[in-house]
Amino acid sequence: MRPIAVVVEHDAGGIIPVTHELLACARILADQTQSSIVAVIPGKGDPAMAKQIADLGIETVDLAIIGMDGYNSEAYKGALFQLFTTLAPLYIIVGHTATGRDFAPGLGVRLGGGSIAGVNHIVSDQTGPLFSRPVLNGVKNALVRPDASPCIIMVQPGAFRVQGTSFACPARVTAMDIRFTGGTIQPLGIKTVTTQGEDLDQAAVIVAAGRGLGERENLDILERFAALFPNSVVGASRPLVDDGWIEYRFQVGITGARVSPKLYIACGISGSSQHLAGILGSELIVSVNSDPNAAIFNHSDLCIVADLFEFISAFERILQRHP
Amino acid sequence: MKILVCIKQVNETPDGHTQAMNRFDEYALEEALCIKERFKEAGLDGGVDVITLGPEGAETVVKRAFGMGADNGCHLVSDPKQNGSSAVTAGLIAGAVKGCAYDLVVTGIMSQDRMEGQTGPILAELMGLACATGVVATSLVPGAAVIEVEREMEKGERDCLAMTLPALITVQAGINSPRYPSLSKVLKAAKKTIKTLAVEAVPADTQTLVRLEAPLKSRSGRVLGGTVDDKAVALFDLLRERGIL
Repeated sequence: MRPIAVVVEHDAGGIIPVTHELLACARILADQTQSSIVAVIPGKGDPAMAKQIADLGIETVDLAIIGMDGYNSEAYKGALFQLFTTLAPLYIIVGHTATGRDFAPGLGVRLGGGSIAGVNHIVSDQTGPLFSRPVLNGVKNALVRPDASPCIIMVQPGAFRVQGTSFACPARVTAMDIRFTGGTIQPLGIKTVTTQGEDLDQAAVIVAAGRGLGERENLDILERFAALFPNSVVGASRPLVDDGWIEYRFQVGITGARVSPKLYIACGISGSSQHLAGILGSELIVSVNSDPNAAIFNHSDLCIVADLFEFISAFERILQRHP
Repeated sequence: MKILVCIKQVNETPDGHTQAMNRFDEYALEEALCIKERFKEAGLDGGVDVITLGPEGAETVVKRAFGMGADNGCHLVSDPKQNGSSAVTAGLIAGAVKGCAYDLVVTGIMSQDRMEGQTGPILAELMGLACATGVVATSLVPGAAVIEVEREMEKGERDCLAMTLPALITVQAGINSPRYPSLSKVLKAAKKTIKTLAVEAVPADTQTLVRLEAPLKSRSGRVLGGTVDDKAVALFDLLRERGIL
């Protein structure tokens, strides 16, 4: 029986939470295909980390890549290629993260298989599992059937819910060494660029701007709108930060801050999966967008289809009447 | 320094009436042009070629790339009905540039329409190149055989590495400010020829699109009705009720 392999994500601080989302995805697939799950930890060899996963009842391979110092895509691809050639997994579950995106597509080619990016849902079909991924800026999901094996499933962070852990018998840990003798990539270390997100973390209300804002000057209108709420701050989706309209520390999404305010008001934000993954922890999500098909509406409590600026003026008028 | 940049034409509007160069590819092209200029300043040769895969009409993005400063352009003409995955796109590009000894290949981090981010890393594997994705800074000493890059990680961290050339990088948005096509270059571009190649053998795809469906809702998604004032009142009432206002 071919297993389902999960590539564990970790950093200096240990296992990264997205790993548990990968395991949740693997459990769904394992149920549908009657397969077992094997977790693989590519790294320096870390028995404590391996035990943490094995204690969840998941067989674990503690894969020490000798000669690798820190993450290195060449080393990952080389070592995982060797391991998976023997293990012959049916599916390989990887995070659609900065690390997963870096090594998984190439690994898929090397294994003679394929890879599906940004998977947010799995549908059971007579022909086997179909994998859903966003297209058309999140307005639709494409259901995709893998035609090559093994298939690497790159899981969208935030898409699979972690179930509460029930009691499980600790599973076996297998320690393994693979030597890496590449040399085209030299790691130079990790550097921290910004202490981001403090304002976003502390705010009760985040008013977030997207491309629907149109002009940079319109940020003033949004600032004024945000000022109507106590303990509020203006955040932004990635494109506005890329264009230099707003500082990086106000960016919300996978590559920015994951936020959990009392109220999140998305203004002119279409709702790309990168952005959505950063806002799902909000208590109340209100979205204002002129496009009734905007993907953000699928993840909102309250949907306001309107011209953003007309809506803000109307809201200001109401507030003036009820101070 | 011979650089290849992969560019794509995408629909800017859902109806397909407005088409443009994929926003992320503009950053890729700008980065390549900056590297070329650094080499020129150091008295070394540099050239930037662009390649696009797309139906007839997609050569518009090659013309725009000429206007920005690309030296040569190639259009791989695909069947408009063909809608292959990144694996097919990368396979076709790898086939078309076989034998061209590029020192560096640059792509955008992803396309706006498919948002997969796979064409670059798959192309690197097919071309046998070292690869770094999500690059937010590059530095290379003209003449040296190494490129240093910083990859954007989560939580505001950057993964720094040095790669021996030839290599492929996929460039994250925000790495630079893409230039607008200059008038003089646009005029010169009109005289340039775009190398046109017909797609003959399409490699087998690794996946099939079965159907499109509406995304699942993760929240109730109550749509407010009425006039814009009604909607504002409804939001105001809810926020008062919740004690937020």
